[in-house]
Amino acid sequence: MVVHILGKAVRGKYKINYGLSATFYGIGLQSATKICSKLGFYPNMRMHQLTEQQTMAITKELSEMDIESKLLSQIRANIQLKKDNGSYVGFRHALGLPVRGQRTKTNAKTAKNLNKLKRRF
Amino acid sequence: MSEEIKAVISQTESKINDTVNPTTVEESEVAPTTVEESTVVPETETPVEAEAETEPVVEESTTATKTEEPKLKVEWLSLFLRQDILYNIYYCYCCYCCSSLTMINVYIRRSSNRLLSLSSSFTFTRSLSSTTSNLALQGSQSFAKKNQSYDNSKNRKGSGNDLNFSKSILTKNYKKKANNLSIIQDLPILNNKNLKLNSIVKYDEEILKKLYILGSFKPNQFNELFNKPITLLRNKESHEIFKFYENTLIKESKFNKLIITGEKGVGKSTILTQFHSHALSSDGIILPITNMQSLLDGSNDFKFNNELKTYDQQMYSKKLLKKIYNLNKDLLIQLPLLNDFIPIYDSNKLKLSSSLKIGSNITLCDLIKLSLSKPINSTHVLTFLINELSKQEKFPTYLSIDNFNALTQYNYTKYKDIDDKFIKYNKFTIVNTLLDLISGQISFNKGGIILSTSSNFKINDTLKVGLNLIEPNYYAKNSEFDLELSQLLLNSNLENLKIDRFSITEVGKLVKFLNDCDLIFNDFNKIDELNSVNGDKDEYLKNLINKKYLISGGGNVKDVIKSCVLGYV
Repeated sequence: MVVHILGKAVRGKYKINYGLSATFYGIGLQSATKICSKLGFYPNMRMHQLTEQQTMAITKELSEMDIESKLLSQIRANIQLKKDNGSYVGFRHALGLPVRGQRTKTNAKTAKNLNKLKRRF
Repeated sequence: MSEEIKAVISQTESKINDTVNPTTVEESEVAPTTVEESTVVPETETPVEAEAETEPVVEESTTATKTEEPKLKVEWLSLFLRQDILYNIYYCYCCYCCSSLTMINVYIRRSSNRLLSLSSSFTFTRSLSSTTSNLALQGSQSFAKKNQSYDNSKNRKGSGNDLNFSKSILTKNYKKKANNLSIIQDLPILNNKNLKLNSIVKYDEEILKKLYILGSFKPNQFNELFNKPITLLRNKESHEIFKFYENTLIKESKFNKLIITGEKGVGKSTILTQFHSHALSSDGIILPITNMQSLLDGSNDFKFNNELKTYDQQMYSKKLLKKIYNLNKDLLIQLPLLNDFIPIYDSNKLKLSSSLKIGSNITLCDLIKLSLSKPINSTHVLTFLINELSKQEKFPTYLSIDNFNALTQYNYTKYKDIDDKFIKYNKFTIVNTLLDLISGQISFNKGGIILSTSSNFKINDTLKVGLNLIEPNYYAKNSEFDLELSQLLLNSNLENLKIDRFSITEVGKLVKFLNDCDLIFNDFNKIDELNSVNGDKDEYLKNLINKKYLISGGGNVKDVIKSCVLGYV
């Protein structure tokens, strides 16, 4: 059984905190556990046990948080700001190179893959 | 730019025509397999459709050989344009005679409009009809055509198939395969009137059914070796537990409190089961908490009760009420309700409809039935039931808690409140009620409180101070010592029954019984050892008992049985 939260499908067999942290960008286990505690879910509660009201309550909590595309755009805006400032960090981002002083003779694969003109995630 | 591309394409097409048209013989020479395989494919519009019709293979092979001229069809698949470097043009050339695919890559440099490389290589690839990918495709298509009804005969997965051996013991019913029914039938029955100490006994059939409901038999006790569970009545421990039971028939429960302690695998839960058997045989009502951990580990729901300012655990209390009902329904039906029962925090309509009033032949059985049938607060029903039982005098009532040290090992449960902080055990209604019973605030007129520890949970200073074994360390960490609980246990005067290891005579009894049941599998030197004692079986058994006593570290029951039963020990 699949539970749909904010248009995303979460497996019913997952525990709620694990399901939320695995599904949404910007939600880790800690913040997912906080949501569960706030809404009064017991620790071993599974996704398929949620009632419709509880699902709505989770949706409400999530909609108030900066997650998914909202968070991504924030991060992109931050990078863009650094580029516009002409800072070293922005420069390294634009070049597709590591930002925090890592070596570039070898390795630096993650930076080369992700630090594009439009930063990938 | 599109004109440039078209020009290139027209060039390549003409090249293709030049090379392909003089064809079929050359193709067969170059790649004889392709011709053979090409005959397999029927004349359809696309290769994929050709694959779909797989059945008329033999018929088509004759027709396809008659094809007069190969037809050409050029299809555009995709056109990828990259601004700076290269144009990559991919198009697919489909030749009907061999039904093969040819990919032509053309690279053009934008700046000079000059053809850099024209790799119009005709790789007459093998037809898809005989490749493994084709077979896979066929397989997938045949699966799609299959009747999708579920065939139970092919996939018989019963309960417990996903569990490991020790966990599947509870569901697999291995005991039916044991071949020692005749030996067990000859055993004496565990009886309150004639306690046959230092002998192996079996349980009464009626009591055994209740013991299964109670959950007395745990998966790691090797009960699956026998058709029916057996037990050894030990000289000291079984006698003491029987003495305790006799006291419970006379005194109030606040004077009868016992905690069973001991090392791992020494038989604490077995002694508790013997007590259950005694209690059930003399019309005792048992409130069984088979695992204290399940109240604390976050496996059940919890809801804040505004009246009591504690948390209710509805799921757990409903399960417990069901267990109490199944175990004691023949006794509870004889106990009338002594106070009016009005459920809390429900709608007024439900309150009126589900309230029970005294004097209309309403028993405690009806109370439990009500909680199981209607959506009322079952934790409230459980606490109400315990209060009711504390007032009746007809039957002795017992509270039995196994794995009690799950409570003492940490101060906090795994539940979290709204502020994301761990909740302490004493904020839960059920735990509070149990602690009231242990401390003596609530007491049954007849009966007792019996607790048992488990070696799966750590035994910290809290329990030791509570049993007055050590002095409290007030500077100990909060997680290691709970002063409040230890004081409660200390004030409740728990009697400590420490279970010792088996004596050599008890090990002898057990090993002899296992030998009679033919359950000692790993005595590989049996023939040599029998020869060494000139075939004297008694002498051999004596040596075996001594050996097992030594192996088990001086009489640990679990190790004795393991050393006899398991092949790898």
